[in-house]
Amino acid sequence: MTKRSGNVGAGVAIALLIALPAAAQTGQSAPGYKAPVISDTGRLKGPRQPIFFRHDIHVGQDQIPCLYCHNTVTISSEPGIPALQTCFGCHQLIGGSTPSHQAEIKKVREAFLTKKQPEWVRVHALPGFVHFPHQRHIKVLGTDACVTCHGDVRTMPQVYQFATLKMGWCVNCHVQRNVSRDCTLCHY
Amino acid sequence: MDRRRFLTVLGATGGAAAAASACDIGPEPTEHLVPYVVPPENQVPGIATYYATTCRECAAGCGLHAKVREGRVIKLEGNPESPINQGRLCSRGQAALQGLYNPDRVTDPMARGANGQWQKLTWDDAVGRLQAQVKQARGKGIAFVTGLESGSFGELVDAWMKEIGGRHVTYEPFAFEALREGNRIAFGTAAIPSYDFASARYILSFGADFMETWLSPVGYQNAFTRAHAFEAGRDGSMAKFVYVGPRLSLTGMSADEWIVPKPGTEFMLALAMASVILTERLAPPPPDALRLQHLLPGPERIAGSVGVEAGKIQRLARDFAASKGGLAVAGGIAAQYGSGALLVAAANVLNYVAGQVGKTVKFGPNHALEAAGSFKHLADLVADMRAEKISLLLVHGANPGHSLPAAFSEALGHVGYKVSLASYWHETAAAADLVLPDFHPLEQWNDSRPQAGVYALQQPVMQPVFPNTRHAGDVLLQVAGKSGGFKDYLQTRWRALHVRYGHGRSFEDFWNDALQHGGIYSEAPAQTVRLGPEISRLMGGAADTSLQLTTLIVFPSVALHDGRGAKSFPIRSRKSPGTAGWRCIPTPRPSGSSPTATSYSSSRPMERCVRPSGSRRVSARTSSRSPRGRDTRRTADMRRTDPSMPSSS
Repeated sequence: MTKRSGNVGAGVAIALLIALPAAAQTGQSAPGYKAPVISDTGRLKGPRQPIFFRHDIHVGQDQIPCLYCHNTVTISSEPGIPALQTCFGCHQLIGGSTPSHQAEIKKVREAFLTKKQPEWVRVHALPGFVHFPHQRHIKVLGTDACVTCHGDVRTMPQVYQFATLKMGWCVNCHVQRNVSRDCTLCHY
Repeated sequence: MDRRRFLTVLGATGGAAAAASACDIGPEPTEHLVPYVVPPENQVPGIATYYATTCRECAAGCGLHAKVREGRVIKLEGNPESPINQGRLCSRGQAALQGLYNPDRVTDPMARGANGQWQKLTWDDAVGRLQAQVKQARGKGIAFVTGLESGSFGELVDAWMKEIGGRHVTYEPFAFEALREGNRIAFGTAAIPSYDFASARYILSFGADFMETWLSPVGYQNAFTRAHAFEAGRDGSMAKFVYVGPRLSLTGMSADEWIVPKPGTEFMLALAMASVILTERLAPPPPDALRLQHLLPGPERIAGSVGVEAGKIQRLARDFAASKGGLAVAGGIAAQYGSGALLVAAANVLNYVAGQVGKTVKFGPNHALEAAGSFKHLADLVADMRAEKISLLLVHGANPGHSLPAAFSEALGHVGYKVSLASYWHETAAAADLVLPDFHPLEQWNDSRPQAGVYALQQPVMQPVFPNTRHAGDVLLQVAGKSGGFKDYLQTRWRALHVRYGHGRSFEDFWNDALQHGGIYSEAPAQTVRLGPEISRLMGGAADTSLQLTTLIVFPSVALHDGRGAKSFPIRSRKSPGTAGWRCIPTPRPSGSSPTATSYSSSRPMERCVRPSGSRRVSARTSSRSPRGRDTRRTADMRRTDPSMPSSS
């Protein structure tokens, strides 16, 4: 954290740190995980995104809670894709420690300032005839349960589809936890 | 795989093959997620937000709840708090969304160049041109035609016209002139009272289509439904509804009894009923009504001219009085002959002698349409236009080029400079020199006063669909050189209401509360009315039984209203009730043509039928073969005179 905000005056950084997520503010180094340096992005699993956003750095190393960005997951069926404003909230200070990080963060800043949103490639998509209300699952399983369906995003440099998201996979979990398998539960 | 994709594959490969190889058709097409730059306020993806606003599809002013998902309004419903519509909404109100997202909307300011071609302008240029024209036209005749604007926008136009020496003409095609004139004859006030259908026990409608277009159809429908139903806590009977008129409209079809007098003689029927009530003392007569007793024509005298037996008239009168909750309304197709105002006055006399004025007919909470301009103002304007006394004409919220006879369109040619503040390429916009794209009512700040005591607020429920459109109020303020936008203007006016209705709250609290509820709903004090001095005119009219041989009956369309419904495709393809299978057929735009006024003219606002006044039965089928001609001809004219309409893209 301190290393990556090195190009900003320390006093300014402290004053503005209030705006940063809780885990990032503490400045603690991640206890168990250090995000690797990626030299060959072509070998990564998952679709290539317009900006190389690294969940492993943000969630794994910096321990930013999922809900900091996907903040409607507990109240809405949609988890919410963070607005560029959310990115810019931190990245107007944090410029990146390596040239490759700096290049990606520059893209974020430009996107915000020119109001040209990146078009993220959707990784987890369900067909239109299925409804998956995020908020109900989070309510039952807790806010750390994202990994159940999305895999351990904390270690994913590039997010890929972890579960099949097919009906059998859904029903399997519903059977194990003995919750309703009514057709209209999801197909309505 | 979604249904559409499945059907595509099915079509391409045949059913069996698709069913067998459903898993082999490859992955779903890549979806993209586009984040917000700055998330909109009060919006949670996946959860709808509701805003209260006001419907502007007709002059009734129903309250709306707009359902907004991800910053887009997706559904409108009635606002249950609004006393106008009590949570209900008609199909035209529902279809307001079709107007909002209409691809034929005007997207940029446009001006007609020297060669007649339309060209896009920047807003600075457009406002500059208008300012220059206003400067030039000062003292040479400026006129501003608007629809009914009973709120701040109307006041802004009034104030501006006063400042630059112009005149403001409000024009509503359904302005209910006969209603206002009839009330003036009967009671000396041209107000349109509130009709309490809900507590009426016997409803008598002389041609008033109160379930379709008459004044405030949504509220009346709702109230009628309650009156015409068995309800706990009331005596066991439901209200009776008798419809008097030559055509069985949707309203007529809901009646318990249909009386068909000769067209143009309905007022005699009403007077004869009043006469029966007075002579038989069926209700305690108001003291000033007694002098009418010997003036009113008895049922025997007029039965022949009206074509309804005297016994039937007596029965109607006795039932009306005995119900102790009679309500006679008059309007619509029965009030459009020369005797229209007399009919309204006669219905008023009937209500009056039955002691119902002040009960089911309440003066005080009057309808906003009392402020609409009269056709005389409009005729004067057209005469002045033709005499080249108008050098600058501005039109907003009205389409006189479509709903007025061709004389208006011809007179337009004599006007120096024509400006249309319009959302659509309708006939008037197409004939203008400068077109300034206005916000849709769902995108703008505004207010209106649909009924005395009701102050309905409009707030933008979403960002403008077309970013280069502007609120006409903002444009006028800019042209007039005033600082601030229309919202500030509106709030300034609401500060006066804050003094009256604020109850000690801060203005911000008061304003937010009004926004949340859709406005301020207060009770207007009741007014007592007495028979006016001109009532003897009515008796003179009753003696005149000379009638035309053929009567033209023009009736409004429940779907298209005065023609403004034509912009919405669902409305145009909607079945027109009560037309016996015959209706206007929506004409799709010829492919490849630009969105022009012609696409709107093709559906007519009114359906016409002609029948001889002597015939007894209405045959919609035979009568409906009547003239379709005029609008089509006007459409053709428009096409000739405006060969170069711009494409909105």
